[in-house]
Amino acid sequence: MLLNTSSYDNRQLRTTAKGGFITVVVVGVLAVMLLLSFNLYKRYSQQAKLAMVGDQSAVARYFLESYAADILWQIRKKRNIPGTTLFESFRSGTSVSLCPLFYLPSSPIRELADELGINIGPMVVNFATLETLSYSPAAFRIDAANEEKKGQLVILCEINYGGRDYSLEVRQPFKVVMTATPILRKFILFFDQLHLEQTEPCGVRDKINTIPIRNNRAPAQYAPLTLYGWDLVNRDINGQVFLGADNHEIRLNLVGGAFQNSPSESRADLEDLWQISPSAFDITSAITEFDQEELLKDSHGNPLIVRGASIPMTYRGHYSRIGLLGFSDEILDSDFLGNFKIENFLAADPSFNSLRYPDFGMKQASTLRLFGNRVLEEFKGFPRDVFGKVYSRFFLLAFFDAPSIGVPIAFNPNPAHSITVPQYGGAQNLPFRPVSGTYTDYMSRVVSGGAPSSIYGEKANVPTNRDAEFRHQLLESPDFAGSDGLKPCRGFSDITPAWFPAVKRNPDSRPPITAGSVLERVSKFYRTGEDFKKAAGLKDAENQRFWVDGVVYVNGPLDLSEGITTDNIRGGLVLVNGEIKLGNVTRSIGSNLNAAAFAAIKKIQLDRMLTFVSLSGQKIALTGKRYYGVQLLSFRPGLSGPVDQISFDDGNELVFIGGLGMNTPNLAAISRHLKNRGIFPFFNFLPALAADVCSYTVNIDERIEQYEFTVR
Amino acid sequence: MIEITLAVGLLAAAILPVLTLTMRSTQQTYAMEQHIMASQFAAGILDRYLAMPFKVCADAIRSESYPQKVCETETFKDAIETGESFSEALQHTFRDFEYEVTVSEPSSAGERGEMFKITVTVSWPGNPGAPPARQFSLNAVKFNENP
Repeated sequence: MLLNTSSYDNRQLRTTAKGGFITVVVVGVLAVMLLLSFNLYKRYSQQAKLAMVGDQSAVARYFLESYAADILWQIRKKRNIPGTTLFESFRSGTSVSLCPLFYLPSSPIRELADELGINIGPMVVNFATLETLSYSPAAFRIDAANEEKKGQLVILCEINYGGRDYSLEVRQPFKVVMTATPILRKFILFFDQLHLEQTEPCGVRDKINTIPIRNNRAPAQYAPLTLYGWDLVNRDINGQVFLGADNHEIRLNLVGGAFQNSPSESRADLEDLWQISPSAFDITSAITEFDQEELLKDSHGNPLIVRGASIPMTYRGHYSRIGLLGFSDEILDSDFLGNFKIENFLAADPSFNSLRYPDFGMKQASTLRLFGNRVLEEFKGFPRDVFGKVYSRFFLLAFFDAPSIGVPIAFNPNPAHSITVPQYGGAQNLPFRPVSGTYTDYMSRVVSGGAPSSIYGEKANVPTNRDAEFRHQLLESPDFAGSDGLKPCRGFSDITPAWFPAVKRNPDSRPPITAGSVLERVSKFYRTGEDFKKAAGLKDAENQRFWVDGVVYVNGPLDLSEGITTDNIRGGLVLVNGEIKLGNVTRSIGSNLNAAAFAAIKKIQLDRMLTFVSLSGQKIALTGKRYYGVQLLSFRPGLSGPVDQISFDDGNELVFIGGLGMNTPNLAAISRHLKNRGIFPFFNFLPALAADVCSYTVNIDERIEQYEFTVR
Repeated sequence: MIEITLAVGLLAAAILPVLTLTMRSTQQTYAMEQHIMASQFAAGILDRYLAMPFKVCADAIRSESYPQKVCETETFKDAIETGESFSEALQHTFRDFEYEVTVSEPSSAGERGEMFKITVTVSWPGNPGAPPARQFSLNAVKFNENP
């Protein structure tokens, strides 16, 4: 029995021990499951939280980008509005650090913030890394600072969203550039290699003086390039002229000078001798103005009236009649000078002999007429500065007039030469005895003839340029007053090769940023002319505009034959790596030239001025007939002869108000493109180009240079 | 015996929530994957439009008709040509996705023509084959670069 009881107890014990083991295992498994559940739950909730944080960050980031874009939009809108603090801050040198923007969120930003539950935080805009834009020392000498600069706009904006603070800082580059070309903008004509069109002063190699004149008139198929002006006192608003190169002489043949028989009647149509001041000659320096004088009598006994002076000699009744005569075909006529021929006056002058053969040389007048057309006797020309070694060429015919006798005071190379004139059949000899000076001072000659003159030296040439007192004075690059803090470093001819460097055309690449040149100022690059036209707004039918707004580069030819008729224009420079075609630029002023049109043209401001530059020095073809407020530039370094850089495809009644700058305009060809009708072709300067201070525009780049998004 | 029964019963009772949680976690991971893909796609679409010039952007949005299936967009078709396994994964993920882009003009008259709000909304179903029930939206304001 005892044995049986023990076996039963042992079995009970083993069963009890086995039952406890399962509980422990179950509790263990339950604990593990609890842990697993807890981790799963935690993972589940963290996952959801992570997604929420990610979404919030994305929403906050896009909102901040919109906030920053709104700030930038408001800066872009106001940057060029004069009188605002923003306008001034961009144009106040490089020491300004804060960009003063009075910012109010635009309605979409406010509404989006309300919709998303975002609190718009503060914003600030600063200038950073401001530095002035450089100028090539080969082109310019810096006399004073101007406002051209580059830098970065640093926009910092903050928001609070979902209990977290977010901020965004972006840096966008910008440039402040002039809307016109420094120094060159002051010129109505800037031909820096014009000497290539006059490689010899006379003959077939003189392609500047090519308009045949007879009776002071040019044939209908020739039209000189005549410059007009706005003011008879203020020379700056008439524009300046440079005919280069700096060390080469240019001679412009003046026209006409002989009047009809009656002093009150003038056959002057293109007569130019009013441009010559008595100060040009020592013997007439005391006279204020040349008058109409009888030089001698022609073959019919009629007085030959010319612009000149009568200078009394020592003996009573003896006069030296000085007459200025221009280039005109009839001076070779047998009866023009009465009993005399032009050879009687000038046969010994080497300049005359160079002009005489071929004989067309005596009738060829200049294609350039720099001071306008004289229509009233008291008109002294539109005053303007003419830079370069530019001389006016004409004939000075002197006649010794005594009672019952008169002889030419002929050219003689002997400085000690004098004459005595037989009178009354040789019964008496009249000495040529001036009150002051010598025979040489009074004798006939080709003024600014071109042949070397040991007798006259520098005085052989009369500069075309006249100062405010109408004294003839040579003006060269050191005499230039400067523009926008800049002066030419050496000569005017050195400016364009450095400022407009040649660029090799590669369809896929942007131009190199040549420091110190106009290329450093480029804000936008266009692959084709069509891309540029679209971006400028010409193809927008609803809101046609032409916005250049700085310096832009077009990597190929530009065809603007359709013209620019809108007045919604933002000025600037269009650099074209190729040829340019340009139709009318009328700015809604229209084609009729009346007082209202001129008043509107005169009001065109510098910030609306358009400058088209052919960087490769190729042709600019003008297909229209009205151009208001346009400067055309085409330069190519290393030329050895003239090239076609401008053409007037419709030269009929052309009006061009602005400036032309190129190496060689090919004047002989231009005078045939243009059609001569009354006041047409009409070339004048845009007064705004003469402003003391150039206008500037601010270009803010679209790319972001630095982007920092922060979550706190 | 009772102990074993109790233990099995307890285990069964305890394993139910664990299995449920595991299933939900799988579902949640799937949903999170869908959500993240939707947000990335929405961001991509929005970035593409924001990178365009102002007028081009407005014209591009207005020329399209929405909603569109993601798989039927030109950009998606270009993307799936890049690699076989990648294109399979993309097609699998986006097979039921739709998206819509809307433009809202500003309420102020002076601002019209200078800015507009872009909203990109991506919709997808909770379960494959079901109609789109979930949405994710991103908003941004596009400004005229040349005011």
